[in-house]
Amino acid sequence: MDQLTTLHTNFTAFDWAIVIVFLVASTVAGMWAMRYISDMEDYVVAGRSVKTYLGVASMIAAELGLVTVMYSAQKGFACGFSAFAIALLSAIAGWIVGLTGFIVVPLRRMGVMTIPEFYERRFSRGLRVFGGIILAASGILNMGMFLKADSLFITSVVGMTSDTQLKITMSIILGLVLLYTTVGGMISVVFTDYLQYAVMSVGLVVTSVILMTRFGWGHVVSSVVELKGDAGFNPLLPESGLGPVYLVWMLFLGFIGACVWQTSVMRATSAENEHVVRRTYSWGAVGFLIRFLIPYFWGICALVYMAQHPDLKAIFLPEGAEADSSVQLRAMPIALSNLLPAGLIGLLTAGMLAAAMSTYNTYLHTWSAVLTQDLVAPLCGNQLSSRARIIIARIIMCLIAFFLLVWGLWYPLGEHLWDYMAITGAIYFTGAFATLVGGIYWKGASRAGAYGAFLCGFITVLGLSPVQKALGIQWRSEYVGLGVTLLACVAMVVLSLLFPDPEKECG
Amino acid sequence: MSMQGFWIPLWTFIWFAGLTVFSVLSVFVIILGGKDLASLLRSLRERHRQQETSAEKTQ
Repeated sequence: MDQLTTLHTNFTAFDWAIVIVFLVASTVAGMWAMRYISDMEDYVVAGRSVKTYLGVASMIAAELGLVTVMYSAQKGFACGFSAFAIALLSAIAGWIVGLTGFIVVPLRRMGVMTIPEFYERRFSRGLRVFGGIILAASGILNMGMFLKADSLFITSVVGMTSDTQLKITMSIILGLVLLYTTVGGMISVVFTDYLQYAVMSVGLVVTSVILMTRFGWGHVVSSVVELKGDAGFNPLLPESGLGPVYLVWMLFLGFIGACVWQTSVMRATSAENEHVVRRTYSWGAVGFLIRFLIPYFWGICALVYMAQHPDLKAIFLPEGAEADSSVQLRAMPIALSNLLPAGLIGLLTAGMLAAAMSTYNTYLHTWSAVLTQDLVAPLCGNQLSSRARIIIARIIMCLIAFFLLVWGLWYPLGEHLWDYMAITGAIYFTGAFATLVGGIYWKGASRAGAYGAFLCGFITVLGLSPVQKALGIQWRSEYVGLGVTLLACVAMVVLSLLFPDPEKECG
Repeated sequence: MSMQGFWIPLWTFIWFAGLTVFSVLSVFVIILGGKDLASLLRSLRERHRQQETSAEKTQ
């Protein structure tokens, strides 16, 4: 890694000015939105007044985080064009959800604010608390590594070599997000997501066009043919690093990302009506495609760039072995910092910071809302006033932010980021998928089945490499994830049939 | 036809179609999303005014 500290970057003082102006404007705008908060409904779901285009901007801005750009670029760098299959499957899943209204429309029809609120209405208050704890714990753990990945991008682009500078910068960014998210709630999230979407979308498109102009599409394709052969294009080949089972897992994750993951579902519950929900998801499918497609392409361009420079090739594409994961993650930002002119690299960094901040504010807001609405409020017998709930949500938000700093910046990560994220997310969503589908579409689903499905989710920790090492096993994460999902569905059906809810027995 | 003969045209189409649609959608989202945002703030302001009025009547 020492070799990387001497690499050149085009990032200048002018680029810093662009980034600072953006940070200040975003924070001021977010804090200005606080004047529109009068009760918990304003705070959590923006008074349920979000319309289609604003919903699309907010959804894409939140789901296209810098962490997504980082791990997707790494995938493009490692798998070439084969990685495009993941983007395609994600878009297909989002589009099907928009077309059918699968899960999200019934949730909006019920008028719930969070998914655990659905658990209470459909099953019991106990399940709401249990589901809320698992959802928030899984989501917060999942988010724990965002700062780490984002810090790799910032370090590489601006040429900062000191870890202390990096930690201070990221702490300031998180502090700014915390400031306007705790004060303004969902209205701030929607408001700043809109501003951040504008900056980010311009940055994404302009950078992609410059890369295409610089390399030429034909040259990029021929370089991947030379470097990777068929495996660089055919995702069904195991040599591509993907394969058929992995693609099924990715399709399932596409559905989860669209209709089970709380941050996406918040867009459905905030929507003005069911029609807006469907349209938001149908158009949002383009966002689901692009959030992976563009960073994959940047990763592929980084591959071509590294292959052209012998000094970089030795670091990023060593003979006979694959580079370390953290080195691969740096490939895309280092390539961009050398390929883009001064000024544009500042705009891109502002766009990427926008992507990071809109993700942080959404996640901070979502998990604090879930813990307040689904854990604290039910435990207090739902007697809390709207004002008390907002204060509790703000305190929880600060605690989560503190955890993120400790976990993400100061705690050493011992495994691959994408595997960590998929498995920590799966602890919740494998059980939630069975519970939501059963609860919405099957009258016979019971609370025993729901508890069983959630408990099955814990088995996914077997997908974490430290656990596998401790147990002496070596299972691929896609097999663990899909297997546990199937098991959770079986648990839901079998336990519901064996232990139906009392009212069902009477009926 | 080789496997590359199938996959390269597919990924080329997906890339250019995706980037074009996203570019056009972004223009719409920036313009119409701005209008939606203004409308959201207006409706919230109106609702708060109504809440204040009804609270005053109750008192």
